[in-house]
Amino acid sequence: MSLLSIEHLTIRTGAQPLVSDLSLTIAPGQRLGLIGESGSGKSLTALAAIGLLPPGLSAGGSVQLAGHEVVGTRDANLTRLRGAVAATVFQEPLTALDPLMRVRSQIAEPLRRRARRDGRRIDVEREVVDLLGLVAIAEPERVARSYPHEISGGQRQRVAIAMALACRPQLLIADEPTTALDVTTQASILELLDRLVRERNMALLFISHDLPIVSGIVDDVIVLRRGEAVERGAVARVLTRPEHGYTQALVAAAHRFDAGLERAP
Amino acid sequence: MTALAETAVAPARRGSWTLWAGIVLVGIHVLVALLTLVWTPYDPTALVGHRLEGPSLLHWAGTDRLGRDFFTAIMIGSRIALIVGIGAVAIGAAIGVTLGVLAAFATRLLDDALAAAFDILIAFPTLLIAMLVVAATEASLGSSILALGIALSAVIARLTRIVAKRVLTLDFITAARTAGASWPSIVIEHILPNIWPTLAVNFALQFGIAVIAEASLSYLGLGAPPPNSSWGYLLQAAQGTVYTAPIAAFAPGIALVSLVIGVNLLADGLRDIADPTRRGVV
Repeated sequence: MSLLSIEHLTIRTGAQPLVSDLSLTIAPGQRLGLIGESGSGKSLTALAAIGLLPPGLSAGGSVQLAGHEVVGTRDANLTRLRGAVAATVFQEPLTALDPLMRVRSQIAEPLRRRARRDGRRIDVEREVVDLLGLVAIAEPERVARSYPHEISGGQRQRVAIAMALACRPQLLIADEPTTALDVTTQASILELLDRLVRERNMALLFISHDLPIVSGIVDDVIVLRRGEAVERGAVARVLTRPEHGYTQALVAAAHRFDAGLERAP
Repeated sequence: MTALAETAVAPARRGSWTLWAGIVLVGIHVLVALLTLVWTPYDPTALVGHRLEGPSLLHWAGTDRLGRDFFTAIMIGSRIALIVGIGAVAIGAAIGVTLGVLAAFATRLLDDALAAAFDILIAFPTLLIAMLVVAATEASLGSSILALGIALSAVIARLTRIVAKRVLTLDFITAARTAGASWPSIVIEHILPNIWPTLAVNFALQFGIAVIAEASLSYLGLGAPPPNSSWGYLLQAAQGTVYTAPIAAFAPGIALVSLVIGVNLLADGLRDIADPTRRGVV
């Protein structure tokens, strides 16, 4: 059974379609990339997958999360699935963390929720520090006591990843997780995600506008343009032999960018 | 030299300066109010001097037109004002925050209906609503507090709705929801702490408004009867003798203003503490 199965998903605001007739499936352990420019509907697809479309947008078609239909389901019934099946890491870690809450409390929240659900008792303090260690934060005790504005952007994104891991999801949705970071931090966050997904045997839905970044971390990609999937396939094939004109342009642009970097003094 | 050095560092600690000034002003009123529970200079109802005496060592603020000690009445006024302010804000906050958060979460239709109801209630002057409620019951301290609490709740509800709606659109709410947080836990863990700094300052404003409104009610003869009489009642009593005993008109006013300013300074200081991102910032 697939973890996430989207069939003929259409997202519209009023009569205007933002995503049309998109289908995709993610099996346990599978890594899928969703590529497209701003406004191509990739982030909306991620939100629709967990039933969190902003007010005013409506979804049609079918989204199944671990076998449970999401489209048209009451919110209270989805709360159990969120986190447990899929957890999300967002683009901007500063706004994705509550500014008035210490890092420890933000990570403790999903930990406690999971413990309640499973009926276990846990040592919250220790598990928070363990999780911070897992996402390769030096001085986990100090960071746990800090507020989000007191730590660096890279550390914040690691904290956001730790929050997602605290849910122990089967599927990790990463929505442009490196876009707000500088280049060296980007590389280390990508490495971290790659390692965690492998170690914890999670599935990954990786969303980005950046073809080279996606290619390093996923097996298959879907290229979105104006809400429609224009190309899909194994990442190596799409990169070397793109079929659709839009994908060819994307790949050519990435090549030109690389060539430009090499020519630079 | 010491004074100079302290002046020099003062600008860097402006936040704590307002907090301390607020603590001192409110603290005086709180201490006086507590003191009146066990001791007052004179029995507030006893005729202890001549009529309309001026200030003296025996009667610090003179006596009223019946010969009762005026300073004793001012001290008891502190207690009444604190009870009115705290009680009215507590009732207003309980109703207002609940309705405001409810409206922020409600469907479009319910939200619009609640917002319209708040606006209509706010359109009525606080004092008018309070007078209606008092007229419907009887003039007592309890009915004044209830009346003012109801009158304040609309303002608090509208503010709560607006700030809660703004917080609801922020990314960390979505992030918490994607992690499986339920709406009640989001309200308690994220919404209330994030709207609290704004609300706390507003509660202080409302406290001041409640104290002043209660004084107005008493001035109009709709407040609690003696010996629970407030500064407003004293002002009304002093009206006829303002030329012969001016201190009776000034003293309750000074007491009222010092309490309202003190509470506002205190709220400013508390907001800076409630918001860690402002801590240590000038």
